[in-house]
Amino acid sequence: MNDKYERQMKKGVLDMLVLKLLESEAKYGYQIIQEMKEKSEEAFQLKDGTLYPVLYRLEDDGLVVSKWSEAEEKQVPRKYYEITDNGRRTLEEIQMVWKHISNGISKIMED
Amino acid sequence: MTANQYTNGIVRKIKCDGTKKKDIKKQLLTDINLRIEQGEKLEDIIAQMGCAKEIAEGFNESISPKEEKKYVRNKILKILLTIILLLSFLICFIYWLSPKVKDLDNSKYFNKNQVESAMLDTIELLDEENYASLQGKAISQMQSILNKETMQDVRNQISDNWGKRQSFGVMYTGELLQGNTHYAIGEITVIYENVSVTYRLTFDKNMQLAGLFIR
Repeated sequence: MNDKYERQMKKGVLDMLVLKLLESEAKYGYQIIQEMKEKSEEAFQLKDGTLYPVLYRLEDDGLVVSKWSEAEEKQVPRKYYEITDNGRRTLEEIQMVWKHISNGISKIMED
Repeated sequence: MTANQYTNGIVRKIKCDGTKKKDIKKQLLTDINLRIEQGEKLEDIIAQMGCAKEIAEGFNESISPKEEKKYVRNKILKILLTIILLLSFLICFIYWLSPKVKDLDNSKYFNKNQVESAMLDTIELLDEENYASLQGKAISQMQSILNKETMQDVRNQISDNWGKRQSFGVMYTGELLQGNTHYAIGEITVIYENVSVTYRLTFDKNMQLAGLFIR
């Protein structure tokens, strides 16, 4: 498969997927990378350099908030990202757009 | 390459303020440490994460135009401040190096009468061509020029025949500070039969002759 097309398609849905993974609970960066890899059955193997810019952008847009955890015993402090109310509303909107687009794409591709 | 060097290489290329850079570095280091705890090797982690330039570019793409503008403005300010600081340092250094003269009456190191007397003694010894005595009263660097041959050349540049000394003019004295070194400096015009000569003499803190200028 052509890398360029794969990258472009993934890039377009990354914000939605990150928000979706944060919907249930706050998570730290590496946890998001791991979950994304597992749940997508390795279709999405994000690099730190791809995920963190997305998280910073979502934070700038007020869709997520972040907080460093306190160091506990052997565990190093981690930065947890939590979805905001605005982020949840935006996720619903993006999901609707996604469904609309994917339906349209399916119809074209099934012909 | 250590994890710290690797993350430093990334954040150095990101166009954002220092606080955000620190935060990004901390997050990247946290991830690297988590992976190391899970048994991955640092070299493998770095290879998987990609080269520093690519990662930084990923961050830079997500930086808003407002933040980038702020970054550029801060960078220009930093450069300007560095230039101003360097120039200030240079000016202070040049000022520190440049000779500064103050009144001998307020000097902690020299006595005005002693300086005036040393000036007259020096001129008399020069006129008497008593270079052995002069050398004994001069710093080592001066001793090599205080000889008949050199001094005769100097005198000849003014006139072949000065004639006998007639009188001393007004004496001007001061304390000269150059760097951390204090000198006493004095100038006097002496009238000879055929010429009038101005001597500028410098003495160190031990009242040794440290400079001689004749015109």
